[in-house]
Amino acid sequence: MKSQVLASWAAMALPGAPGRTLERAQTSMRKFKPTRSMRFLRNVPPKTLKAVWLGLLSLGLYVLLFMNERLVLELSLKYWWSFLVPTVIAFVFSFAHGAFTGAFWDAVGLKPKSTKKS
Amino acid sequence: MDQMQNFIALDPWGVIGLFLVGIVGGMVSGFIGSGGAFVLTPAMMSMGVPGIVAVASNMCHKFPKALVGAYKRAKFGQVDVKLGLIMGASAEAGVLVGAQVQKNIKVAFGDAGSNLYVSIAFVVALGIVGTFVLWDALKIYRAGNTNAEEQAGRLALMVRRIHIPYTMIYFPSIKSEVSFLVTLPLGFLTGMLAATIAVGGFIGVPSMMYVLGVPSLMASATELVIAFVMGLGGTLKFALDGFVDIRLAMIILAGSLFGIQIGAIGTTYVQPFMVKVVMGVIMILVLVSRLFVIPVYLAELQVIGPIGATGVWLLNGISFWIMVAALLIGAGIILAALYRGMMDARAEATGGKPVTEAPAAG
Repeated sequence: MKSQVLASWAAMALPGAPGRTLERAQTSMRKFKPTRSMRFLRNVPPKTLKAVWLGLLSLGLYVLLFMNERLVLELSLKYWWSFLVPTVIAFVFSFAHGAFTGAFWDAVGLKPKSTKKS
Repeated sequence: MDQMQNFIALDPWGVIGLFLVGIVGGMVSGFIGSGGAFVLTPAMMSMGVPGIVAVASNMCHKFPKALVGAYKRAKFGQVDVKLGLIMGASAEAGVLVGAQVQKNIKVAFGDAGSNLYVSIAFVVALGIVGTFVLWDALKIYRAGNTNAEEQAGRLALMVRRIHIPYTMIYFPSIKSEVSFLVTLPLGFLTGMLAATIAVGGFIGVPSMMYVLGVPSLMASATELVIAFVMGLGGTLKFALDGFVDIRLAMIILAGSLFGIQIGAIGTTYVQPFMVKVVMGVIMILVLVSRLFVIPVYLAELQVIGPIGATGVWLLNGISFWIMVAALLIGAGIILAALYRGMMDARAEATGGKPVTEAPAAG
């Protein structure tokens, strides 16, 4: 079904193409096999995927911070509201990175003992 | 912009080192409720960061870390939020006073004075509290009742008998009422120490355990609430004066958020007395480490004669390696206890023989 839809899209994208275009597209879609990396992604557990996405988010924040380190340091000194700069950054990073580390250990399988302590 | 001089240039090895120290520091912090910073502050100072900037940046990484740790341990039923918030409020006052004292010392005596003050505070606080905690842990170990439920000591029972009308508050962690006037000085001293060496928990946790009679696992978890409250206040105070190096704070945070979750999870598997063992061992080792650098600062301030470049190198080196040992030993004890606890839990679940004699008690 999916391959038929994709093939009809391919046919529409080629105006004036011979009538066999639809047929050819359908055949190639049927023959299509997902690559190894696509199959791998399909088999990745949701916990791991969550950890990967959150990890990318956290990494992005760190890259942003260190690419602009001079500006950030100046902003944390220059104005009357400058004291908010490190505080807000710390909050944002703790939520993003904290979520990532939690998801990371969860994906690794490190869990607390199930019985609650009083 | 003069204050920019407070912020050092970062090299890759420094970043990697801080990240790794952050992991272990976070692990210790998640386990004993405080710490991390007592290794991180000297580690930053060894990198050339002025003492006050090291303390301020540590505070800035501490409050988000404590928030994550407290949330995690609250899920395990270990946090007395009411006690944490009440002690946190008085700790905040202690932080403001302590931060002002720090600032005055830096203005009057410069970086060497600030470093000396921080180091002496380390030695005094760790010497008194560390010896006491370790002695108590040894006493429990010798008595052979490491799995026994912790009982409130004589001091705690005496404190609970003090009845001051209109000030009594019920705390779930001790299942008893205590006057909040008793918690005021405890919180204040915790805050003062936090603003001085960035580790208020060295007073906060033992005072909750021995003065109020809070079980050690709950004391270490509740300390994370106090750490969050005073860490936020301290960060705002230091940030107003421009002493927070957010880059350093975020590098440590990156490592310590990995570590704090291991430490917090570890507490669900171990015997409560292990918290005291880890805390005592680390405190004494860091104390010895700091003792070695005091002559260096004294020489810088010309209180004692010059000790020469070789002497400075040697003393700094010894101090650094003892600190590394403290970190590794602390992390080793936590990981070993966590591993044993997990194996026991697995054996219990499958009906096999546990590695240790008895399961963790809480």
